[in-house]
Amino acid sequence: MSKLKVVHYINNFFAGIGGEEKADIPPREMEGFVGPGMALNNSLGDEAEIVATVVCGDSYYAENLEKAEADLLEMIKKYDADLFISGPAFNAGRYGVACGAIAKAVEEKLGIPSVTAMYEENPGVDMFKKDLYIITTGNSAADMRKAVKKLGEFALKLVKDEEIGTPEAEGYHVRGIRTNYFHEKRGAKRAVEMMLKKVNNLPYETEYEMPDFGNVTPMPAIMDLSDKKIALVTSGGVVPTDNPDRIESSSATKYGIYDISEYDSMPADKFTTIHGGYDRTYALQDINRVVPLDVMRDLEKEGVIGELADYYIATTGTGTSVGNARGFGEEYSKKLLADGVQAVIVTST
Amino acid sequence: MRLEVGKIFIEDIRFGESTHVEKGTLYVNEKELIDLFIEDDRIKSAKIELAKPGESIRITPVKDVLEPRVKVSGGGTNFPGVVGNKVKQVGEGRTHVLSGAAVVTVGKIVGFQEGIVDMTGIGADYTPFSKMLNICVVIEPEEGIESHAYEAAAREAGLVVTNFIGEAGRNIEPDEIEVFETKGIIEQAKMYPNLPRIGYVCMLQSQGLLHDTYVYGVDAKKIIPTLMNPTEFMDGAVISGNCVASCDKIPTYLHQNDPIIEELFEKHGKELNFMGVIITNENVFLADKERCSDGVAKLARLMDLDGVIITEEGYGNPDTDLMMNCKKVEQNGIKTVLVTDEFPGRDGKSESLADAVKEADALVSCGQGNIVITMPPMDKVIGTLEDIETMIGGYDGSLKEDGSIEAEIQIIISATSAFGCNKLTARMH
Amino acid sequence: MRESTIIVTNNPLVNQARYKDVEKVFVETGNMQGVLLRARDMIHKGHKLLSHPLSGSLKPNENPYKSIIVSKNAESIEFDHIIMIEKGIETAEKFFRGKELPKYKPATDHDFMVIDKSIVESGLKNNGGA
Repeated sequence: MSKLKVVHYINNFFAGIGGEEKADIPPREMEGFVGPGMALNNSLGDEAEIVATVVCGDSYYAENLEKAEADLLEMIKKYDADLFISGPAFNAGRYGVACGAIAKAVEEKLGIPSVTAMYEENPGVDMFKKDLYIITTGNSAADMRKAVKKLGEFALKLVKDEEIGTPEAEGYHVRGIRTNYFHEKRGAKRAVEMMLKKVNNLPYETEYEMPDFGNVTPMPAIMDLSDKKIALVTSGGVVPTDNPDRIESSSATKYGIYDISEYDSMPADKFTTIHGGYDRTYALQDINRVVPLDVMRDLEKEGVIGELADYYIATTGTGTSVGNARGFGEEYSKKLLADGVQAVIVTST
Repeated sequence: MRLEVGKIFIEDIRFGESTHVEKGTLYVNEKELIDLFIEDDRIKSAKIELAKPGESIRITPVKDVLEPRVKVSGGGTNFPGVVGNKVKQVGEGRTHVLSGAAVVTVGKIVGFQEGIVDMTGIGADYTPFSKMLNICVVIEPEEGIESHAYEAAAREAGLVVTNFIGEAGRNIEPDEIEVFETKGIIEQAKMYPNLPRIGYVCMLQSQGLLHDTYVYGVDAKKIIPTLMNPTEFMDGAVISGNCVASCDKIPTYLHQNDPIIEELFEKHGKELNFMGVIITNENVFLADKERCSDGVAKLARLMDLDGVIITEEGYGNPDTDLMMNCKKVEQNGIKTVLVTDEFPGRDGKSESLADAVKEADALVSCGQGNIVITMPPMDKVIGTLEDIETMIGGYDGSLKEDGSIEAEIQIIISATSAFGCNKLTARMH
Repeated sequence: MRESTIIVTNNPLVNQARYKDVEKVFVETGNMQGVLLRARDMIHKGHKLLSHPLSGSLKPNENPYKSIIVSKNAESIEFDHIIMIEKGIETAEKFFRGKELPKYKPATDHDFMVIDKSIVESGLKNNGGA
């Protein structure tokens, strides 16, 4: 019986092509396994083998989502694979997102069972856990040996259509799919038992967790702005026309800080919006609609606000992982405070 | 209040010359039962059919399920306020139960009237009523009568028939007698000073036609939160007028056999002090939700409870009541455990509840109602399959040519009722 | 506590009925999402949400009709109400994603109208009287 055919996706680094300086390479394909593909191939045993490896630079993928996916699918199609595996990506954010994106595309568009693997804090987990099985790994390539073994063994189960157990048993990230089963005790009994634990301050486990509210307690309102320094922050994807920081149009992994000190209004020839989640027509006609610099300058002149900060901060707010968004805020708020900013107006789209 | 509940184990049901119990078999006389309500000009015709566990029978559309009981002593009568004109308080003395038997009212009220009780096959695994000996009262409404009128007629018929059958147990010596007792609040608290004081908050559906519950005959829309003794439920003080959705409606049977009350009594005096029940409703008006949740928290505090278990009926806006009750009770320093079912959408990936508060950190799940199963065809149908595809949980193509039904488990009576009567639950995958 | 109210509805039976001190905003739409969206727009303009946007058991992809009661006065915006209506829209979306509203035969469709009318009337009755 011939072996099942597997196609493997890895990035520039793991393919041995180069580090960050090669993160912009477009997709390419190679025969057989490459880099960690060797260990992965071993974990597949006699039943399956990696017939080809497709590679893409992490930055290239992030900045060219559609083209990268289309080109890769074109390459992958011809192998008539039975199984697709991407990663493991550990904690590399852009790599994790690319792994999830391509695995999802392969499964949905080519109908090939797909699986990937990464560390829990990788933004790719939150983004793709509902679409794919994502095997848990450690947070760095030091975990490669273990990760690849787990990944290979699970992938075999998947392709052979074997029953997949709980996340804990199989080692994949909780996907967020509510699945029924029959408990040995009826619900009322479990309720009373849970109540007894809770009321006696003993540990208990809820059967359904409330969503993460992530609520931030707002600071008290400022009654008088006339002596305050205000800054503008936007998730509307407004950046200088050449997008020097290469902020992504979706699933942003970065934010930028841009000088507006010499402007009384956002000039259309100096700024643009690269946000992929809304119709940009009206924003491009007048960028002030997203970053209201003109109104802020008026308020500054009128003395309603004390001073507007020299810069504004921007990122793209579509598909951005909660983890990343939180991280950006924690980081740039330090700079804002150091620069004497006391309040921020956040514009979102 | 102290109630002796005497269970008469019914092993079989049969048609007979008269309605009576003999050596564990319940005999029912079709004409006797139908005569009780057939004069009602809202009803055109009716018949009685029997269904036993394991038989290849599908009962649909089901309106309510009730348990035959009779008040032998202690003041008041079974189903106070709804059968006859007697409204005296119940919950004391002695009550007999024809245990193992159930009355099922069957008949089409509206085009989406649900649901299904299969007596065998996979569908039977999901409903507690596949294990009962069911006396089905199949009712056909008069032509062109209004839904309100038919619903009331079917509800009343079910109550009157169940009450009559229950009478058959009056003079029979029970096979098993259990005593349930809770005292006045202060006395109860003093009785077990070292045990946590636990209460049960029972939320009753009260939104309008096919979404109503009655307490001593009073429409639950009209009540504000109040206290009840657990034993009052055992005498039928709370009955169901709710027909939606099949999987998580609380049939009268479950009000009479409330599993939370049963489990709390199980541990009463041993690990907890069961102080009593707070009932509240689920109204549509937001101001009512605020008013009632405030009331629930107030009563819980007045009873000086350490914890409450809260159950709900329905999904959607009742989830808001559930969360308001939880939040306000917790904010009063009283711990809560919530019991509910889930609707995370067909793929199981969306939010299961329509509302959420961070205080709801202890929740028991009765399963999710959106999963699709295929129930095999049955040899006999009591009622009609006519509206399966528009039943809640059904869809275009649900009813297959061979008679099997592919539908969400929403279509099965009490598959996920949030009283915790079943073992079905859900977890995160 | 009788204040003037508006019922936002796609239910012809409700639209035709007469209630004291109640105006109607009729939304011509086959499923309740249109009603929720219209109510949402009004709430953003300051109308108070008086009844809950979701039904008590019937799911949005099962029940075509919805009547929502909002205040006639539109003085100030209640953020809690905005959150409630937006959550309602999101919840309805979730159901529509999995399965569409069926095409009911006229009698069944009428049944849903009758139920919705009964439910919105129970809300009105509790508004301080009648």
